[in-house]
Amino acid sequence: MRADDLELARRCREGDAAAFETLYRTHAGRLFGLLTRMMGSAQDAEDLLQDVFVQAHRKLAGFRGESSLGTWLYRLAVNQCLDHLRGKQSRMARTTDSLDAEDAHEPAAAAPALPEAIARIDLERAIAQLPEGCRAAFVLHDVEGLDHREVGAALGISEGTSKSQVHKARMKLRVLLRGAVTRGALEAV
Amino acid sequence: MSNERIECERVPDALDDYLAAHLPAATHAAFDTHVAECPECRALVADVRAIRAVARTLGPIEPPEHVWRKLRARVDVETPPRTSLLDRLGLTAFQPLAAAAVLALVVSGLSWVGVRLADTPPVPSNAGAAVALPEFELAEAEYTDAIARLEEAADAARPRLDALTSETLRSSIDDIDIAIGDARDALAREPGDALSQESLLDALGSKVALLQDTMAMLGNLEPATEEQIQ
Repeated sequence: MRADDLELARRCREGDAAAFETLYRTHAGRLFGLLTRMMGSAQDAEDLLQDVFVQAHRKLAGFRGESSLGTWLYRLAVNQCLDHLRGKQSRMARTTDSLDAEDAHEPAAAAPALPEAIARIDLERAIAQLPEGCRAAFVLHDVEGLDHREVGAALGISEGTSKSQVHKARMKLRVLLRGAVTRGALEAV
Repeated sequence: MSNERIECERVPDALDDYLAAHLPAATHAAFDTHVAECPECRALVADVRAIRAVARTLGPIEPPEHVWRKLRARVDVETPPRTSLLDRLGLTAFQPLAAAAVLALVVSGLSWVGVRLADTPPVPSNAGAAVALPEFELAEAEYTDAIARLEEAADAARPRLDALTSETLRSSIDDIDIAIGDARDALAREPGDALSQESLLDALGSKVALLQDTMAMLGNLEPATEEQIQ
């Protein structure tokens, strides 16, 4: 596997267009999924996906095979995404702050419970509506499976802040998903 | 029997460890007790469990095809074809005699070409983030000097190149010059921008590499070509 990655990287470095297309076709889906959810916008994700592979094309000379090409590209994508989000940091701070403590302890018992099987499309739509700060933490933790220490390292925040941001995201998602369930029930009538 | 009690305020912070069964046994048992007694926390645990379960199943999303086309265009502009002139002429390694015949006229009389790889300045490494301004200016000056000398030699050889080879070389250099111009424009707007500096050095390096490849290929083929023709 690693030998295949090194061979593919070597061919890309030498300007082999077919190899670069193979690199793109192999990894674009996973990275586009990550970027779409992190950014909350397919259009932004399209631009960033191009930037990631342009960066990869420039930096392949530095690829030594210490990790897989997939992992190497994944790190590039996360960093590219965070650079983009940091550029909008002030807005991110405002939107993150809009999730206040009331969301964290809303009277859940009074609201209808979420169905055990949430529709993926409803969750995708709800994730896109999350504020940027907690969305990034949620995507890395609950979708990508990073632990809070890893999320903290990726986002440059503490482990405790990662837990707090993921919790805020989940609380917001509960509200958004209940809305989706209610709308679905009304449409079924 | 543990007397540990869990309050609602502790639930959010410990929830992931609870769901992953990473809490100490006594704490986990206290958590179970609290969840059984508290409807709000019971709903929270159930909802988070449901959200996490679906979140983990969200898979890849294939990007639209136009993303690849745009990317390909960007990479093409940034990087000239790194294939040899033989490849661009449609001659493979399995056609040495044909290659020799095609290039015989080109390389004959080119011993005057004094530009060799060893004579060109070392290519500065441009990997990494921002380049300090003096270092960047030094690297740009080295590249520019190397390009001037290589272009002089390439221009002298151009009349001897066949039309296809000459046009391919010209087209590749034009592409790189566009990238160089774009990077210089960006640096004029934002001096010191790391990405623009990197793009400019990349483009200059690509031009040096292309010209070096051209001259080296011509020089290296000369002896073999003569033997093969005989």
